[in-house]
Amino acid sequence: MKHHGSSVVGALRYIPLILWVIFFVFAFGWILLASFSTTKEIFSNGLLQSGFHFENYTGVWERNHVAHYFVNSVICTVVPCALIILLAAPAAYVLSKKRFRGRKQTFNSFVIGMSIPQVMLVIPIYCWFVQANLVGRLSTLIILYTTLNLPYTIYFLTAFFSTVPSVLAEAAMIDGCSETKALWKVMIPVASPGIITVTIFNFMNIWNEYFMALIFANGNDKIRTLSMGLQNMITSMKYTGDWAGLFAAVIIVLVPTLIMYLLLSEKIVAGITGGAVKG
Amino acid sequence: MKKLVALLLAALMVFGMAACAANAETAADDKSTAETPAAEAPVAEEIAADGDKIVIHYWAQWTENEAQAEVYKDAIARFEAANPNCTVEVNWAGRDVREILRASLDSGNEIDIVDSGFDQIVNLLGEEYLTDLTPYMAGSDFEKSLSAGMVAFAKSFASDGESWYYIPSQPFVGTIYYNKAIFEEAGIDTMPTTWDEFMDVCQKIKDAGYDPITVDDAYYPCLYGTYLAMMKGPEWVTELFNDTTGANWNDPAAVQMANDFAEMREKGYFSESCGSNVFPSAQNGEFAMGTVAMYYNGSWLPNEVQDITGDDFQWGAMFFPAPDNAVYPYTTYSTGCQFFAIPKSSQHPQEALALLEEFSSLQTQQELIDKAQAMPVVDGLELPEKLKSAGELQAQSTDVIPWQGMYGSNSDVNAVVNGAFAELLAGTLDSEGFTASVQSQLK
Amino acid sequence: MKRKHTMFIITSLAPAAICFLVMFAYPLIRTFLMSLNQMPAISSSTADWSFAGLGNYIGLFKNSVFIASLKNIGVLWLVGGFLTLGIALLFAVILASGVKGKKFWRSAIYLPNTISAVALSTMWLQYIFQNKFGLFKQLFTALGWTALAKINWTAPGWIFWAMLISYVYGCVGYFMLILLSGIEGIPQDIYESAIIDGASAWTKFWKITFPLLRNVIRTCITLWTVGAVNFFVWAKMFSTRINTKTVTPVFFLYEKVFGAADSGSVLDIGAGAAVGVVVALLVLLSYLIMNRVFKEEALEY
Repeated sequence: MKHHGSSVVGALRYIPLILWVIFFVFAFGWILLASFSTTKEIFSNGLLQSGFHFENYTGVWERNHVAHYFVNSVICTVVPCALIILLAAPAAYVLSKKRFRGRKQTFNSFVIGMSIPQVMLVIPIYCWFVQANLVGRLSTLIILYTTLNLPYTIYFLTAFFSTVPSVLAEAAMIDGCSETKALWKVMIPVASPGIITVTIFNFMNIWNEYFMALIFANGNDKIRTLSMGLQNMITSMKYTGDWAGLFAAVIIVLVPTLIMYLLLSEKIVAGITGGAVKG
Repeated sequence: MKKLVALLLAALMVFGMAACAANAETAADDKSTAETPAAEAPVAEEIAADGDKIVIHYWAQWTENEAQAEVYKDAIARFEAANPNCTVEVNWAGRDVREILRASLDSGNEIDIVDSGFDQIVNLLGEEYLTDLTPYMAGSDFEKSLSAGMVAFAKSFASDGESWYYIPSQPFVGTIYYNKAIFEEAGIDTMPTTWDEFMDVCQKIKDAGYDPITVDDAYYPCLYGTYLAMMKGPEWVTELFNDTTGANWNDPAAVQMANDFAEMREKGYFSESCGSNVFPSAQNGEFAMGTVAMYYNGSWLPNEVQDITGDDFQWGAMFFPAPDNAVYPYTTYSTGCQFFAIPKSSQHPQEALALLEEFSSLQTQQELIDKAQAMPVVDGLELPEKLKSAGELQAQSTDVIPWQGMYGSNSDVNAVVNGAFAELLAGTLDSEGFTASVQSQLK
Repeated sequence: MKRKHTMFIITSLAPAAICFLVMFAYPLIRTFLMSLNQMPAISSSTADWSFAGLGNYIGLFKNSVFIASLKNIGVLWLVGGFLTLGIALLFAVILASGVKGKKFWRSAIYLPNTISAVALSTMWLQYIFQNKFGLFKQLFTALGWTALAKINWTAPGWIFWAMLISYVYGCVGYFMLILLSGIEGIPQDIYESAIIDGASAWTKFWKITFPLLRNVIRTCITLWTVGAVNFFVWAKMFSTRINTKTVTPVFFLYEKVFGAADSGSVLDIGAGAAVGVVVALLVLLSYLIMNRVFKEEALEY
């Protein structure tokens, strides 16, 4: 069935893939080398001429609160991811399995909520947080990330719950479980593939979030997330002419994300695909 | 308008200060240095005796990567030792602090001290947000410890011209900084005073195999603003940059400005990448690396690039040449100052002011000179080696204009003019195209 | 029992519904009201508002910087969309065609998407587009492509395209994944019957894969549109000062409401709110158009 030309095509199709990957390896590799060079070497295009300068890294680590940024990012991502499920799963379950007045309208509002651009919401929310003296706290970001990702998660889980047979919950209730118990003990575990998918999706969205963090958590090293911390480091390196330090900062911030991705890439890819396509 | 005149007068006196520093003789008989130790004196007796520590929150425009942070940390340690009931918490926010200052104050953050460039502190916060420190100043020797020029400069920004809202932190000289080694190699022994002489100098540098001048996108206004201010005065420029109709860009001065810079670009006096330098690409990659001879900037420049230039870079400062038909003579430089300020919401203005007094003490100022190549706010100190040339230039100067040649501008006008100026430097617009582009976008 | 059941529904739904009302419904209405008013500060109470009617909107559409921002995202949406979806589709088709090491390629192509946009844009701006030692400069010089090597990517004529290229690079992986899963969702037996008919790979793609992907592509266009309308991080990273070449509506809003990256900024909350409304309307418009276009096409088949 294969005619002659297709083996050439078969080899050719690797070319775009290889080019794409080589490009990344080159760019990333150069930055890695630059992060071990001196600034002067970077500008005169002679990386590593005076050997490896690990002090770029120690300098960045000592003078900036990189560890702090990491902890903040982890807190600001993990906590909302858990809270989102805690809030969204029961709502989605009810929306998909129960019949009541206003169900359709409620569901539709969440769908509309998904498509409202955040810039449309941010000014009044900021105003509130200002009045509640909440700006510049980690809890602010947690609240924001939780609530802003709710509509989509509810939408996704509603669809997912509708593929889970109701008989499971009904059987549990016949055995004497309350509805709440049936939800958490039976339905949620059954729906865990969907929950994991949407959580990975949410995690990836929140981990690198920029806009909200810039507005609500940019004032202070204690609350900066990784994106903000990196931006702050980059800005300061510009004023000290420390290009080597700038690239070292980029690498320091990148590496943990890359490791996380390498370890979990299958799950992450599945999560992103599942999360996006169903939407 | 009164304010603007006051600013000019005050700024003129700033030069007086630096002149003292440059010529040690004048400094000696002028002011005794005995008054400065006052800065060390413990603050305020009325501090609550209940054992609660007063916390002073300082939001700094520096980050811990910078030498200034190192110096201020030492100063804070001295302050805390002298005032055991105070602790200072610093948020090393960096330059981006200006993007969030107002919002942070609106949202009730506890901030006792802020600092930023004078234009940002005055325009963004101003008296609406800041504490009038006059009563606190009255009770201390702080004012006496500052140089007269700095005092006048800071006060000139108050609406009444005499209140203390702004505390000077670091004055600067804005002018063309140059690489003396390149000038020597090109055989330039007299500094240009007119535009034609400036063109000759550029040609000589080009002949010697260097790019004469470069600029980063962040500092475009230094070129066009200074040029226009020397032609028509800063008031006119300020008006031009607040006028969203763009009507005055037809003015002969504006046209001449576009022509002169376009000509420089055509003759190859601007480095090839001038239209495409994203800050600090020209500063670090061209000027500090020694491939370009001149760069218009503030006197913070030697500090910012010192990791790249090392200590053997030969720093020179020269006047911006007088364009044809300019009202200002070539002996004009631009100036400004970093300001500290204490927000209205601060619970401890007196203690915060005492900390600022420590920041302005002879010892701290000397350390800023040594470690951060800063210009001092007090008299009697010698300028850092790398700024000697800027100090001499101040001493020779006759006139001062504000940094970037204007007192504030409209950001929408800036966005349009900067875009068009970049195209002028990149050669994608000629001088007529520049004017047309600005006018068509503003109209 | 019935009451318990109702209680269960209420307790399950209430927390999410309250969050929604507080964080979506109310801000939505308030932003709209703010866009019709002028106010001195972001935290001003409604008592300090002064009604401006459509004044904020009229001001916006007279503001050349805002107009430039709309133009910028328009071009970004169209050109960037074609590039991103085109490249993503190419990769998806290649990966679905039974290449060796599919999982590796898939992970590798998605990799840039996991990197924070701040880091990625720094890599592009400070290295790849750099006009002396940059990757593009050196690569094109080495290849002898002098016209390309001469380009100063950060010059005013190019910086928008530089930003667009780097943004596309950062997006391709994501859309590749979505398209790939769409292609893999197409039942194999449809292809098998086509193979019997002797169709070439090219014909198979245009006759079978592409039409069946219609819904997935629609999802992609929607996601792309939302991304383009909200475009911000890259614009901010690519501009030292706000300027007409790289400004986008959200950047403009940030400058007006929170701003002051430029000391000349005059904060204008009402105008910022109006930008928010315009952006929301753009999203709505794109949904309507999308529904129209894809429904009509559906009738043809």
